[in-house]
Amino acid sequence: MEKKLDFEGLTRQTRRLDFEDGLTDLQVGVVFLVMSLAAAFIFSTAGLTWFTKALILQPDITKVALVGIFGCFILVAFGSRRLIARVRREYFWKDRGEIVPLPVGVDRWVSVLSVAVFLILMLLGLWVLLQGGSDDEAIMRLLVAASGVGTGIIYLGMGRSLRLNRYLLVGIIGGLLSGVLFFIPLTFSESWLGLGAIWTTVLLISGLYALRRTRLSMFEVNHG
Amino acid sequence: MADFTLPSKFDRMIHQPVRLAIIAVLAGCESADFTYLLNATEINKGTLSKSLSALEEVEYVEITKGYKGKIPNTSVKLTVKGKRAFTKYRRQYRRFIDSVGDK
Repeated sequence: MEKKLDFEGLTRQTRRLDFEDGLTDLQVGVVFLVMSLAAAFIFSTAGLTWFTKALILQPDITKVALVGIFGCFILVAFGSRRLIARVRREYFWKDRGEIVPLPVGVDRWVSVLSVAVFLILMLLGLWVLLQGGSDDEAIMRLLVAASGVGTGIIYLGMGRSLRLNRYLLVGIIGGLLSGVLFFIPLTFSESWLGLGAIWTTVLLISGLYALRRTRLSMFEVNHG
Repeated sequence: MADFTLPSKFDRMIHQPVRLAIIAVLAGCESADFTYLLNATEINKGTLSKSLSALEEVEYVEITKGYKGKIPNTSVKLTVKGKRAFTKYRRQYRRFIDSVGDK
């Protein structure tokens, strides 16, 4: 305690713990994959036909099944957090002690900026559509692309406030590739698949890279 | 220079290196255990215990003693009052640093 106290650094270092080992990236990557697959199916012609038929023929069962699927999704999301906590307790945080991460790891200004950019892009798209400069499919694609760009901004903001360079790269690459989706003539369903492919790949690479680094540094500590 | 930038206006409970380090760590998480606080702040056990008790007395932190499996575990979290006090302290500290920088 004799050196100069960087208390902002202590807060940042603790906040960063939840993202340092890459497990959170892997979890979010899988969530993106499941969500995009579900959205791609629901918004595809086959999915919409199946869903409409199911609602007409078996309305109650379909509603219960939908609630069940949503519940399972929530359970998996919370379950994976518990699994991550267990892995950390058993392996990564065994000697250094444990924390329970903050429920929201994103600064408020980052969330606000991300939503603002999303809304601006959507309004711009609507304006172009009203001017007759684009088709309906393009505005739907813009919805997906803007979600991806918004996610990129969230990662950029987190990278900046946590001083985590990996997240700066994740934000730039994911955000830019998501923006490119708008210019590719895809259907709404296909663009969801594209978004899922982009973010799942970027986050899995980021997560595996961080995980490898964590394991290597643990190996160095244990074996000198 | 305005009065609020003077160090004497700082919350004395927080404006002390050991307690400030503890609160700064706790501000970055929902809760932390005793071992993590020891490692992150690099304080010895006795000083950490004493400082935690002082912070608990003014209701800035909440200490929960329990077990994780068969091992005793002490978990510490910032209370709402503690969070507010730290936010206020950070604001005052930044203003103070800015005012010193302006000189």
